[in-house]
Amino acid sequence: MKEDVRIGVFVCHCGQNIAKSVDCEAVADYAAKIPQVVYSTHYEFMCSEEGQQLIREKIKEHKLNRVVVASCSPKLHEELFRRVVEEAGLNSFLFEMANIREHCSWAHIREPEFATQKAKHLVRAAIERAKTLEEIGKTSVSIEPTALVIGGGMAGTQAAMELAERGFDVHIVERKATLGGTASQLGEVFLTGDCGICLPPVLPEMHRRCMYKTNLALHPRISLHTLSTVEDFKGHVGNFEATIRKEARYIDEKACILCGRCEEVCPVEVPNERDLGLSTRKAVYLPFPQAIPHSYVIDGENCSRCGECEKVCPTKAIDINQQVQHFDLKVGAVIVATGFEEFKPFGFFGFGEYENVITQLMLSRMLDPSGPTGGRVIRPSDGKAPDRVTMIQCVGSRDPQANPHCSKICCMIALKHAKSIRERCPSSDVTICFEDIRLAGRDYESYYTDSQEQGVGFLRGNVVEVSEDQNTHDLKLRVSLLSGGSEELETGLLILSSAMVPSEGSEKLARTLGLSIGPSGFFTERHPKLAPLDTSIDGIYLCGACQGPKDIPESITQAMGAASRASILLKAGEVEVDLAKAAVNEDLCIGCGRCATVCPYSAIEIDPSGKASVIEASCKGCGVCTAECPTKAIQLRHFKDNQILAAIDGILAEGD
Amino acid sequence: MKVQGSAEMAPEDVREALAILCTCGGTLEEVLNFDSLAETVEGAFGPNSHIVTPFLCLPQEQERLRPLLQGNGTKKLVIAACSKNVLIPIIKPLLSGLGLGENEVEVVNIREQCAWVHPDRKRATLKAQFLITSAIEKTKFTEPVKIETYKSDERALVIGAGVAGIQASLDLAEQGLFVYLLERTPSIGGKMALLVKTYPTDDCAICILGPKMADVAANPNVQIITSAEVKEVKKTAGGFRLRVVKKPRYVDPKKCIACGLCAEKCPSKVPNEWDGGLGYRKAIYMPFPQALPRKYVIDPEHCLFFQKGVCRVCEKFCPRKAIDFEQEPEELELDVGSIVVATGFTEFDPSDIPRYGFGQCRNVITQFQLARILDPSGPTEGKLVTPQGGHKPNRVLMIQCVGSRDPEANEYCSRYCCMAALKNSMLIKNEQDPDTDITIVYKDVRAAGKGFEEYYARAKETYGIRFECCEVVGIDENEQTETLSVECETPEGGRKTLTADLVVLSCAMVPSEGTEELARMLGLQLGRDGFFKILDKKVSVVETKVPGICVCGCAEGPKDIPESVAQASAAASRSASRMSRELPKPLLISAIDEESCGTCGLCVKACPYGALSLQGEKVVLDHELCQGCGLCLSVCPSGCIRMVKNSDEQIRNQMRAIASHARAHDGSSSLISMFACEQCGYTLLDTVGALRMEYPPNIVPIFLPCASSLRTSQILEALSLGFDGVLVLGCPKDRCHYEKGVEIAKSRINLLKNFLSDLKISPESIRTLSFSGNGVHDFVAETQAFSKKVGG
Repeated sequence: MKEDVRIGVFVCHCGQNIAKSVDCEAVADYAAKIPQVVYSTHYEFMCSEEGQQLIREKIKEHKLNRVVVASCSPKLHEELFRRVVEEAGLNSFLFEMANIREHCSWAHIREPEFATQKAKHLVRAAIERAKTLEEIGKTSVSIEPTALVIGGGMAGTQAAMELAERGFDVHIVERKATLGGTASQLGEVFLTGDCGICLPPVLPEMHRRCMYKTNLALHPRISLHTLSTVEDFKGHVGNFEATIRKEARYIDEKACILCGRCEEVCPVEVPNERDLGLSTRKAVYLPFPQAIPHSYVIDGENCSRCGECEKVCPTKAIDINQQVQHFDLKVGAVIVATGFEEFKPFGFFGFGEYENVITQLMLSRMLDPSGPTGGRVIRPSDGKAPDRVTMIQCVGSRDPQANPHCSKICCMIALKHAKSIRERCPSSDVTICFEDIRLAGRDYESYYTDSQEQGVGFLRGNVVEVSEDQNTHDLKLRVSLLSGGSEELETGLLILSSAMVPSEGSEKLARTLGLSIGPSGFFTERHPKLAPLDTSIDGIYLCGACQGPKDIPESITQAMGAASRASILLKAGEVEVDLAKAAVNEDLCIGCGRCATVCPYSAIEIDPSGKASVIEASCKGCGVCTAECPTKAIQLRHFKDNQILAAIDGILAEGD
Repeated sequence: MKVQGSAEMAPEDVREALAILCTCGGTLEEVLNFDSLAETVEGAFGPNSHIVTPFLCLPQEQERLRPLLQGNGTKKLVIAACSKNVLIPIIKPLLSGLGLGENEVEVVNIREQCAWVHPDRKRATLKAQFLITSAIEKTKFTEPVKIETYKSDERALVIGAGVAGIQASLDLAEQGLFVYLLERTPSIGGKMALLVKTYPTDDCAICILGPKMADVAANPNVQIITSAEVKEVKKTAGGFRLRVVKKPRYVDPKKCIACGLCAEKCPSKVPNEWDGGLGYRKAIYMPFPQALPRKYVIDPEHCLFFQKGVCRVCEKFCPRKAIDFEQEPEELELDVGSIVVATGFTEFDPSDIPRYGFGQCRNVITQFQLARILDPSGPTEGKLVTPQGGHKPNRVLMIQCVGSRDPEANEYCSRYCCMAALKNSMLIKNEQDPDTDITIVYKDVRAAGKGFEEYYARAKETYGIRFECCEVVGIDENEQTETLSVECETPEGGRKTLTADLVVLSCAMVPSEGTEELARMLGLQLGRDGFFKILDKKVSVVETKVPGICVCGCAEGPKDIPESVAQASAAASRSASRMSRELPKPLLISAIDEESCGTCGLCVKACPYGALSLQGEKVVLDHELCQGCGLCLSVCPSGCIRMVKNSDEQIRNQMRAIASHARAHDGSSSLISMFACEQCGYTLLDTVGALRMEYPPNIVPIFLPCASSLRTSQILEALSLGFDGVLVLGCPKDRCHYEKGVEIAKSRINLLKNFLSDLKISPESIRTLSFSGNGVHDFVAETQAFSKKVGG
């Protein structure tokens, strides 16, 4: 027996957001006249508690079995209205939304007549589509109470510790040989002057303690995988499967006792990347004294395979034949914390050309008391202390040619470094060339005023030219002042405040995980305002500088926050997923396998009977398979051909 | 008798007091004479009292040693090996198998502190002996550290229901914890609900906040209590007990259907504080259209019935008989395990600074007022008009940093105002009149956030908003034309006059009213800026000094919405973490000896954590608050406070052991005792070791929890025992892991130096060093210089 379709239409004013250009009443009246629409109304805020209540009441009152809400983007409120409909006893897929705000009132703000007309078309399309909608069920999926944290820097370690302390098992996957991230390269961090290596993670019951004393690698709930990357990723919320590729360390990290004999005998010396070329290391080396895991590592690329280290190692920890390993991890939630790296400003202000042009991170290494120069600032050209130091802000930031974004922390870094230089070498002049001094943190402003009092010079302008004196290797700068005119500066050392850019491999990781990245290459959060730590994929969260430039306290805050978001999921035990996914009509399927080939989520298999079958928990409902299928055997349950065609008919239908 | 690790040893041979000497794979034997070290052990613990092992850190070796140690019930254990920071986490399982806590084992670091830093075999061995004998003597007074566990109540209180408070509540509730969400005003939603749009996406603020408000209201784990304030807070075993007073609404929320008839009929008009004082509301009102709970409320201060005893019009017209003038304030008692403070901010009142003309010139408004004007449900229904004449302004001027970055008002930067000005400027261009001339007077445009710079670029390039870098010195109003002339000073010192029809002040964020009072009740500190202070600016970003209380959102200082939301989740995480398990807490300070305590209260004043209090004739220690720094015992005149781990007896024994060993073995060279803190001090010595740097081997460390726990009498005792010099090694200034350790130590030593000449001791023989864990070069240089001076 054919179902008696009874549609209710609810048109939202969104305050004046819609009502300003769309005549909501007219739209509601128009809808009321469409066949099978038994109720139609308009209201100021459909998303408010009252609006929701209105929908619930009218569903019951008019025995509605289809609901259309014409309001904002479904991205914003579809979930909310589905819930409302469900609360009134309807299947949540018997609901359709018409976006008359972003797609209509906002886009045609100065053309009210046209906007109203377009809104009617959109509503009609939604109504026609609603007529064809079918109930779609749900299934519940159990959640693996384990988390994967990608990135072992400041944010990742903090998030991992937070989750481990909550009683969840955590895997940390770190690309480098040690935890610590970029913060471990900072001699001291701004505002507080702590050494970067000693910062998080801080346990809840601990007063401030140093990182390496917490030894994360030995936490009973944490498994640390260094030299590892996520190579493949599949699954769905609560049940992800990550394939990890672990490069060879060539040393059994549990057997290494840090005696350092290997390093003594190693004949290969290479530039030390940690010091950005300011020092050298051996091919077998300890990244830094507090490295976690507490173990040496062999740099396979530079190792000459001479075998000397193997001979002297007292614990036989070295295995030069170690191979790359692959293993799978089953996790319920993922936290991405891959951080950032410093933009390499080749071609900017003589960097890479003149020896005495360096970046702030290189200066950080110099200012590290245990760094390559023992905390002294020197000119790379002659190893002497510079009399005059000049810093240029926004190198590669706020620059459409390089990165349009502001890197947020460079102003504070410049101030911190200027202060350190003035303190350690009061005879050095420091000048900072800037456009705006941007201090995004509590108590940062007084740091700025202090540095002005300490005699740090500030010059508001853009450096337009840098040249080098070939004999002295001093640099000459021409600054075009913002107030007009220009000024010449001479300096012994030029420091570029280079942009913060996403870590290498972010783009690839985003592709692997199925996440999107923004124009600057940072991972995109679910909502920039209210869901800064969630992503478009349920069960995957973000924290730290991989989401956008930020400083340490903000990264730690986000890490703890992301852990909170993840623990909500991990604690739930199971989660419901709807079945608005692809489904195969076995009678039509010829088993060609094209759907399985094109599926970006590996959600389709060809079963032994030679028919395609959809792994519903993995399917994201994108519909690529439906377009590929030559026999129309595969369809999306919520976007069947007849449903899409009905919407088209609706748009083309005559207006009033 | 020496027993090699590899030798077969029957469990019964092992003694109760035992030393394990680790050779680190034989590498330490190259520098240290292990026979001499064994002799030192046997001399104190007796024969068969040591085991030499090549790798104590390797699991297989621990398995081998386990039965040997277990068989005889080892009670006193000294381990001479590597850094305890490296070793203890590794051997924890072995120790707990022996029934030993990590505090009950003495780890002597003969690697980073000896073999790796002193290449001279004889002198390195001697120093290792000093360290071993010192540790052995220390164990004579070792007592077990008791552990107390705390279990909090599984309910939380969130104070403040703005976006931060709502997010914190949701995060907690969704983890299955019960939350009381307390709000002072009649509606949840906070400032964000009134912001029209949010940068940089221009999302409609209430459209995105509304659903979150609905979520929190619908969550069965959240109880929202509006119009309520905290009146009293008491600490309890499970957390806190609070007395909360809920003001009467005078409307029965169960009956009110928000039809609005009451407000329509109410004769009393009141300037609307929800619209920044622009426009009017009635004495019975709904704060804003999306307010939650969506119930009317009577403001008794403006209600004619409450003020004059007449009227009751609302009562007459209410179709549901929901008005109830008899309602009384309600007192609630809440028991909670943790508290999240999310009390937000308020806009700075610019009338405090006369040069901005606020309150004098009517066409000078604040950014919040502008947001209300631009709001379709605001006082002008979204139409931009001047408050004075109701005209459409053609020239709008925005002034940044009003009350921010201004030493006379607030030194801090309020962080949101640059973006708010850009947002409102573009809103005017977009939704009012694209030809409006808009100028922003600024010091720096601080568009530091994701997508912010791009937003700024759009304002400049696409919308043609002008930016003037200067400072406002005064505003004048032309009474006839109602235009404003704004007098500015350029950075070069020149003058400039800008004219406008409407001036908008981007005012500072200041702490919410009542912040000080709330801080006092909760026992929290405020920063210099007046916002709640967090435990540590860098890493403890939500915790406060009071365990169980976190802060988030603008209560912790100016921030924008995503930062507030992230911090709220972080605060929820810390609260949940505390409430969902038992927290172990080692009792580092043993009970205070009541008989010798004179209740002078010095310790109470000194404690940086407020862990000690004077209750009647007794000093009481709150173990939960105590961090074990030992500052209390260093100020105690009667010596009635005792530390379990670094007791006076232990330190005295250590000093004596080193001094007497020195006399017996090497009387010739000078001897320096270095009192080093367990924090940066120990870390620094590890780093120096890892980098294989050298410093004088006659410097023998004795570790303390914090430099501030060292007393001058102990320094004098060291000098009288024959040490030639005393070094005190602590954390850098301001970065003490327990507040002000090194500064306290320094001031004590300075005081002591005044008396040293009377005692015929050179003031040069005492020196304080303060370095962080990576201050290696300075440490080496300073110790070399000191050793030379003292020795020579």
